[in-house]
Amino acid sequence: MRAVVGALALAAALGAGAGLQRWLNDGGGAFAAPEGGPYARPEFRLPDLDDGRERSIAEWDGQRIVLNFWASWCAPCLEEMPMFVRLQDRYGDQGVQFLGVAMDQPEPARQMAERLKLNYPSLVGELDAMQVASAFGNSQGVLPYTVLIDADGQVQATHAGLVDGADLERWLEED
Amino acid sequence: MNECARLALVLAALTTGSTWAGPFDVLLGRAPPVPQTAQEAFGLRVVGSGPEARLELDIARGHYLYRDRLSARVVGGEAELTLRLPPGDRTHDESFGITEVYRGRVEVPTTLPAGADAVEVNYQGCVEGRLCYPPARRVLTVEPS
Repeated sequence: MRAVVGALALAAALGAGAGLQRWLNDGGGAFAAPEGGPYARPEFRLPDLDDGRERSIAEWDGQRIVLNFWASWCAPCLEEMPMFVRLQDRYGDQGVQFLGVAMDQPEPARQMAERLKLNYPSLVGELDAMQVASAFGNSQGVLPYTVLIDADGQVQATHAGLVDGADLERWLEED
Repeated sequence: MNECARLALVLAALTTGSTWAGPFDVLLGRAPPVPQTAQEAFGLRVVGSGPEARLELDIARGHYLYRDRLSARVVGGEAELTLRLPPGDRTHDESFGITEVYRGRVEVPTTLPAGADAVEVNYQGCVEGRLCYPPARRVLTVEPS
């Protein structure tokens, strides 16, 4: 555990994430487009929380992805995840796929996913999940962190902190 | 200098150079400055020696540290230090039940073994109602009291 915490701290110290900077500077608010505009989503592979099988984000290519980084120890994450469950139900048949990445140890994350009745897949990892978060603009590893990826695999927006549900739904309603 | 100019200077003096937002920031409609990193948000010091030692927490406004996620050990040592943790603010969290958190300035008495000159502190905290920083570890040089 100590090694894991140390690794997380080291990764956290690597620098401030642009998404966090924007979020902090505007005092919260909605999703923000990446600086420099949309960009092709980074490739990554992580184990599935359910069965440990390694999965690639490419499996969901062609769908609009709401990629949410979370952890069982993160109260704001747990606060917003029931909304993601409802939105997955509502928009799942319209080509929307929520995808979690738990920056956590598998067992507590699995227990929390069961408790929250997650109806969408979640991957899991510790330092490797933090590296994925960093690749999506969250180099501090703050949670929750949510990324909107369009059906062409372009990262359209990111948000550090609790998501504004109305803002997220506006994006989900877009064609 | 007329009264308006004098007032403007006073306001400017009161609202620049401070780390955290004050009432004038609110009056002027400024977004409160928020620390950008956990290191900035959570000031940590270890001060003193022997049974008089203490861990000092200086937590930025709008942030909190979880009491039960605070631990420390002497660098190079195996055993965790016994932190005499004062009660924190009790909050009810839907997911975690009753939890205790620290806000503002908090002193945590502890006892350092002879010769201890650096302490490793593990902690985890959040911005109120918004986001959490990941669990972190910091190595602190013991300062004389």
